[in-house]
Amino acid sequence: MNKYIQKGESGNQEGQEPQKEEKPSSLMEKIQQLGQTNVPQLSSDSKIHCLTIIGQIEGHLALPPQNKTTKYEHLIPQLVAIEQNPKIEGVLIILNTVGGDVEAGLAISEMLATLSKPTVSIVLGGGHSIGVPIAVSCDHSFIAETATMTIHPIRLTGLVIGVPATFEYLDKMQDRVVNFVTKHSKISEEKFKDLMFAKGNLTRDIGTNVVGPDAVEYGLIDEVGGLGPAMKKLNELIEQSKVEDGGLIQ
Amino acid sequence: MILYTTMPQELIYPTESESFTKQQTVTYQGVSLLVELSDAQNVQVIRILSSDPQHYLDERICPGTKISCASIEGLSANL
Repeated sequence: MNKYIQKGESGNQEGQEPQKEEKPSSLMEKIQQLGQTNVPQLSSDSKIHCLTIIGQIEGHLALPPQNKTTKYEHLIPQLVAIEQNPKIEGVLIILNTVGGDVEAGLAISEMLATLSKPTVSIVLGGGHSIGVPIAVSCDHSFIAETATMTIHPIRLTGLVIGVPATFEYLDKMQDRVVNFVTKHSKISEEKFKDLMFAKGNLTRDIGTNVVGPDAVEYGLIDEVGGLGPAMKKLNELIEQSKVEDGGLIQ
Repeated sequence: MILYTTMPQELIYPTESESFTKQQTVTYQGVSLLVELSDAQNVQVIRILSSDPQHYLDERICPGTKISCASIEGLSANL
């Protein structure tokens, strides 16, 4: 494809001064580097910020660079900045994660849940294991029709710090996740645990893979939808919070 | 060889520290970027670390762009 573009470009320049042929235009350089060009930039500052939770949620162990990861040392300062910046009115969270570190995931969830600005999350593709609490931590949650969420018990594939009674520690850790999810969504603890310990859904494992509309049916996620409905909802929530703030001042 | 273990792969086969130093987080034009050294003078943008959607539309820092090391503070000292 690059070759074709180059050919076309030089063909256009035939009639022009030869100077240009030596130094390719910045547009051409860009096409060669990535195979795409940019959309025009808007001048104004955006009042809605967007956080992407992608790949694996990184815990205490830094994953090799070929892994796509979400690092909490990146996300948490961003959330603090969003909370402090008066120009930012709302946050959109985009999830496509396989899960990862429980404590890092819960840290992000707690930060999102306690953010004073309106937050809306969309699960696209997948919001598995520890992605579930992150998705439900927002004021309103969306899931794409084709997106899935895997609900399963916590398992030990990493390191647990200083534990004399490992089973009890893991049980407690699991309760933290269950409590968070049931507190921030409409799903009951009983139903969530049923899904978590369901047999026969996952290969040689317990748990459930919940697809978009099912997640809404169980009360885990608020609505099925994508970017458009999520932005609309976020703008509604921003308007609401403005009205509430105005009421307080008077 | 098959290893039956619950340990994560990274713990059993640690990655060489070289691959970690190849990628760095830098601040350029007020935006945090994850960059990779492409040659001696330039770095290539891998990922934008920002929550502002406008930063993703800035063509100076879009992923794949090459930035000269001289224009990034603090990076040239490491090379």
